[in-house]
Amino acid sequence: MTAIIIEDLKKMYKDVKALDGLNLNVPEGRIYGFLGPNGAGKSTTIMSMLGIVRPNSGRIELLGKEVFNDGFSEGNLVKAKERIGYMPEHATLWDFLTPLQTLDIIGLAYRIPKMERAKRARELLEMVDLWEDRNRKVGKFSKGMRQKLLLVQALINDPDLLILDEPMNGLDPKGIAEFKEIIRRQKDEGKTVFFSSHILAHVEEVCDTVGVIVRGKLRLEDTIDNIKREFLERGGYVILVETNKPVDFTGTGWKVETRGENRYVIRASSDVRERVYDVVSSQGAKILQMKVRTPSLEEIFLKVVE
Amino acid sequence: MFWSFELELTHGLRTKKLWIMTAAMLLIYVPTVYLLKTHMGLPTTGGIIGTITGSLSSGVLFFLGVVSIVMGSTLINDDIEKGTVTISLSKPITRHGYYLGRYAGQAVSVLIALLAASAIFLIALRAIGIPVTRDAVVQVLLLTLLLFLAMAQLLALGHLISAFIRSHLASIGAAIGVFFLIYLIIPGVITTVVVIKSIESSANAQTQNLTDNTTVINQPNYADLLQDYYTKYAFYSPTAQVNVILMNTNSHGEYAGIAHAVRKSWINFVLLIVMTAVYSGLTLWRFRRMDLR
Repeated sequence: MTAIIIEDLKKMYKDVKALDGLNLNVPEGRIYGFLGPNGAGKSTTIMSMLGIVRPNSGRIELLGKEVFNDGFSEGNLVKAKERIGYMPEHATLWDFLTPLQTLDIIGLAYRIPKMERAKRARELLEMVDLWEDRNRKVGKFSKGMRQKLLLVQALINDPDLLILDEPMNGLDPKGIAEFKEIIRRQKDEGKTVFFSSHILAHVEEVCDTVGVIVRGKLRLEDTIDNIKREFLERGGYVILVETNKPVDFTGTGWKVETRGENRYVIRASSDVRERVYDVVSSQGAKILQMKVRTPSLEEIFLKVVE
Repeated sequence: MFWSFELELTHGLRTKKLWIMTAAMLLIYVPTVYLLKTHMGLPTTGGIIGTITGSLSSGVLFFLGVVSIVMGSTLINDDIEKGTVTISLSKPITRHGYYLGRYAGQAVSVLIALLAASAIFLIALRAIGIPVTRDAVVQVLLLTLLLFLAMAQLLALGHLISAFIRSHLASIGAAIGVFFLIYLIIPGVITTVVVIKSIESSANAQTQNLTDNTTVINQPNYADLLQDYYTKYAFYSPTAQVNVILMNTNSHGEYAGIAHAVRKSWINFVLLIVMTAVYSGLTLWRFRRMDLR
């Protein structure tokens, strides 16, 4: 089953096109990284899914429920949200409540029985090391602590679909590691995680599928392995070679840049290391060093955005 | 709806606004108690209520009105600015349930403050030796409920402002401006018109002195005309409607009670309820269509 289906979603903010016919498919059980430059429409997409922003037209289906089809179905939206957890990017929790009270009142929104709410709140607060601070007002929390509480409030209902909008902002390295672990655990339990971020290293490490949105349209959507392979096949292989004397690569069909004395950067559409060896040997030269640089997600992202 | 009601009530009862409001009401009640003690000896229920209504129209209604409309004017935009609305509406609750629940929570917070202030007022009366009869308690309670209806309407008017103005500070400014308009300026203009009309329609108009308001106010048609004009031209102002109702607490020169006043000016009472529904209905209409980011 597909956790999220978005078809031809359009949203205008006055004269600005935020979403321009967006299409998206997120299969169940995946960790989906939703990438895009600032203002690309990531948050608008997420908020449209949850009914916080009102799209102009299109269709949205969440966990098998059609929540929007040129207009919201409040009943279906409420039913879908019972199985969704959401962590917003810019939000404060209620400063006058303690973490325990926050999780209790949020659990109440899901109609979780009181005893179960208390048990779940304890588990979650212990998971993110906030149990000791359970009776402190949230207003006195640091940004990192608030971020942790924002995450666990999204987990109170043990959601089948977890939507995270820039979740690692404001976390220290230890917090980030814990965070990634929590996300992986969700996947192990068969849950779907939809995760927007601008820190591509995090996405690359955690997500198995990514979608790149640019100016309200999805420009790329696949597994990270497939994206990298395709990128390499389109001339994305970068081979760095250092030889003991000058080598002429004319006639090979590769793009070659000379970087310093006897150092070359070769760009090709496949792994041509053996052929490089042949070319170098045929000219009586020796390879001192050769390595293939695989593209990072960041490079691919920048290419797509360009 | 219950969820946001509980959230708002928890918030309302923990914020300082509510208790400042209660304390302010009591501060305004203090001179009333002093007045009852020093000048009226052992007053009747009518005396008590008459003195309270005097305080109400001059002070409590004004102060509480400002607090209520300001409280209401940050309900939606402040929630958007802080981002708490995105947390709330990502949960399985509807937008109308969310708004109506928060409105109910805010209204109940105000009612608790009003009842607390009224209870303390009655205790203070008893403490200074004024007998507080069952009738007096009923009258004070009815008065509190009437006041609550006005405050509920001002809250709704504040919500309407908060649904249209995104900045909560600008919204507070607009709310205070609107309050002065409907509490002071428009009723002032209407009263002036009524005074002039009364004089004009008086059989003795030619011999009346235009500046002699006491004479004009004492004319039998003045009160009816004022009620008529407040009903027609200040129907959107809860404070004006409460003032009209409180004008009718007497019958044949005797205190007849709040219930009598409500019966006599039932249109104004209905307006208090209907306009609350109109303001909150418009807010809900707007809120359901808003992008809450």
